Amino acid sequence: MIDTPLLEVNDLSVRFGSVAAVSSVSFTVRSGEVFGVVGESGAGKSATAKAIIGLLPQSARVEGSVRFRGEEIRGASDATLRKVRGAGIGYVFQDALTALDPVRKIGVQLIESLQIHKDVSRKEAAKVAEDLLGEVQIKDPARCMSSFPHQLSGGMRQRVVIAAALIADPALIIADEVTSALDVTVQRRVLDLLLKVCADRGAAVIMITHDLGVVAQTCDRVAVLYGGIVAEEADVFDLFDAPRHPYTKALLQSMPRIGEDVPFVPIPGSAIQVVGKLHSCPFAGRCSYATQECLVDVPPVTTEEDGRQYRCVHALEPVS
Amino acid sequence: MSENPPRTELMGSSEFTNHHLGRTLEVRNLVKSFKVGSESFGKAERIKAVDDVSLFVPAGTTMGLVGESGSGKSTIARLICRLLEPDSGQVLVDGDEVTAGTKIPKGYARKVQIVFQDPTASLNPRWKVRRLVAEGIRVHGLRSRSETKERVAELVSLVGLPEHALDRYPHEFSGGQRQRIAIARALAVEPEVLVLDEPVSALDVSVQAQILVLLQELQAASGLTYLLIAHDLAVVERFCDEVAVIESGRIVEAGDPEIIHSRPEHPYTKALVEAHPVPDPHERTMYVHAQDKAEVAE
Ligand SMILES: Nc1ncnc2c1ncn2[C@@H]1O[C@H](COP(=O)(O)OP(=O)(O)OP(=O)(O)O)[C@@H](O)[C@H]1O
Ligand SMILES: Nc1ncnc2c1ncn2[C@@H]1O[C@H](COP(=O)(O)OP(=O)(O)OP(=O)(O)O)[C@@H](O)[C@H]1O
Ligand code: SF4
Ligand SMILES: [Mg+2]
Ligand SMILES: [Mg+2]
Repeated sequence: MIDTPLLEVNDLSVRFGSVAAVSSVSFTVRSGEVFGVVGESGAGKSATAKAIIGLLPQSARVEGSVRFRGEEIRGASDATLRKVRGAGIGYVFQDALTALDPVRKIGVQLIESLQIHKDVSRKEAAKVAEDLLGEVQIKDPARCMSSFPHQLSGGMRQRVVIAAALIADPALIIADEVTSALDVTVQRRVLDLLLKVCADRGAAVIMITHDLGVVAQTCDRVAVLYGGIVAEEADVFDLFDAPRHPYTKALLQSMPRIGEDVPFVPIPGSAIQVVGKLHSCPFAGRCSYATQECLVDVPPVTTEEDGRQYRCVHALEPVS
Repeated sequence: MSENPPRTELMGSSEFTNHHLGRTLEVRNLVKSFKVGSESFGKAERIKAVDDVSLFVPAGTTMGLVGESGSGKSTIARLICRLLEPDSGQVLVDGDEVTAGTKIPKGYARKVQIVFQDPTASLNPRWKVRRLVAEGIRVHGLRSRSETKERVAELVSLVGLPEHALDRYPHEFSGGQRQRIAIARALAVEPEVLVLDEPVSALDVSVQAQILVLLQELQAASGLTYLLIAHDLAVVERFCDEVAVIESGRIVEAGDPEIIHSRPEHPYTKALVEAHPVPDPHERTMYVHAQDKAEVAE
């Protein structure tokens, strides 16, 4: 039997008017895998995630292909997408507050998310919801169930949204900055839960984050986004041990380490926003290795034997 | 305080001047409880979100406020900014009482600004960035029209957004970009006390450093007083003069941020230090399942 990847993203592009948020992004996610997507603010991480499940605003122009379990879902009908969302793909967006209905209690919303996809009684659903809130470290799940969103703290709301995404047992979970509002102790438990779901049920996670600590601790493979392109994609160990793309290297050097006195080096300049079509390496303006060659076109994808990919005409030497 | 080279060029021809000296911020014995639960889902009760909290932030300094999710940090922020009325206790700026429910002193609305934890909710979705940032300057009559225009453009570039951002609506930005719009907006009215509720948690380290350096420069130039709510101890360590740890609505530890880090007397700070994710996949100590996978890979 041929093993169809859980999710195949091919040549995905997203434009908002003249802004090219995502340009020709491709990657594959397999069952049971934690796939990291990292990059600076504005790199196109959320736009990629929203394009995958068809939740971008009307104003966005999306091109390319998104296959979920082999089936094309890019441009699919609302009915198909509704079926995929929740039970097939659970997603937790960056903006937790907007994902919740402000005038309905948390319990009602969670129970409903489960009942849409599973034939369970209200009482059973309430039990599942309450247990799940406990698992995401909500201290008083019963109180949380009977609260409105505004009665919860920022971090509590964030975890409610995570619970909502997990409740229908999706095969793929898209987690967009899910733990950035949480302190590291709670973050650890929440990430543990996500990893447990992967291990126990063979679900996959797309972990979108700007936190390289989270990436190092949780991901199997990582795509590094810059200016809407995948600058590099590699196994997490290879990526941290020997980055091939100058941007990956700069990103790794910019990590502050707690309690250590090594100064971190912020990447000079600021992240770009691509207006119009991309005609050069987007990192050229900030790259210390840049030459004229980098400006003639977007660097092509180089694929190594082990599947590692990068887009740079002066790739860094592999260290052995 | 910062390991970054001072980015004075950020200030450029800016008009940040030493025209006001900072204000002290003080809260005394603040108590705030909420009614929770309801008849239909179980019995209603009250929880004490803030329980006898006192803090003193000297003018021109930064106080960090850290603590578990739900410990009452944002509630304190909202009490300070008159968005909530306390059950009891006082908020004082420069010794003057400004507690919600008391008469609002002249100019207070401008002097004390807040950057909310959830930036989207605080940005009017129907206004373009230009207006969002300019509105406060206009309302408080701080500058002429042409000066306002210049100042707005300057602020937007200081927080690292491109010029064409001015003509776009908040929903047209990424999460981190929106957070920076909220910061530009709060700075626009030249506040003297700034309450920052997780202002950099959605930002990557480079932008984070840029924003923190900007805030530090503003403080050095005009003596701003900050109350910084953050869950990231690395940020607190670098940025704060003092830090207070809150647990279930009560301050349980306070002092120099380095002491809290190196000699965590309290279990919560200890747990925070220990749980920090190490940015090295070879040191997967935290996540049991990740560890198993790493072993398999070897
Ligand atoms: N609805 C929209 N209309 C116009 N431009 C948009 C819209 N949404 C996003 N953008 C732009 O597209 C680019 C990519 O945005 P995206 O939200 O994907 O960034 P991100 O990588 O998730 O960043 P962050 O870490 O700050 O959340 C940004 O430059 C952003 O300003
Ligand atoms: N309007 C409200 N009604 C009822 N309870 C509330 C209300 N606002 C806050 N609470 C409760 O008060 C407690 C403190 O909330 P607060 O938002 O201050 O926490 P926080 O320390 O900011 O947490 P986080 O780090 O998650 O943002 C929580 O238990 C919360 O559920
Ligand atoms: S292609 Fe050129 S500019 Fe881009 S990362 Fe490589 S060396 Fe730097
Ligand atoms: Mg985003
Ligand atoms: Mg809060």
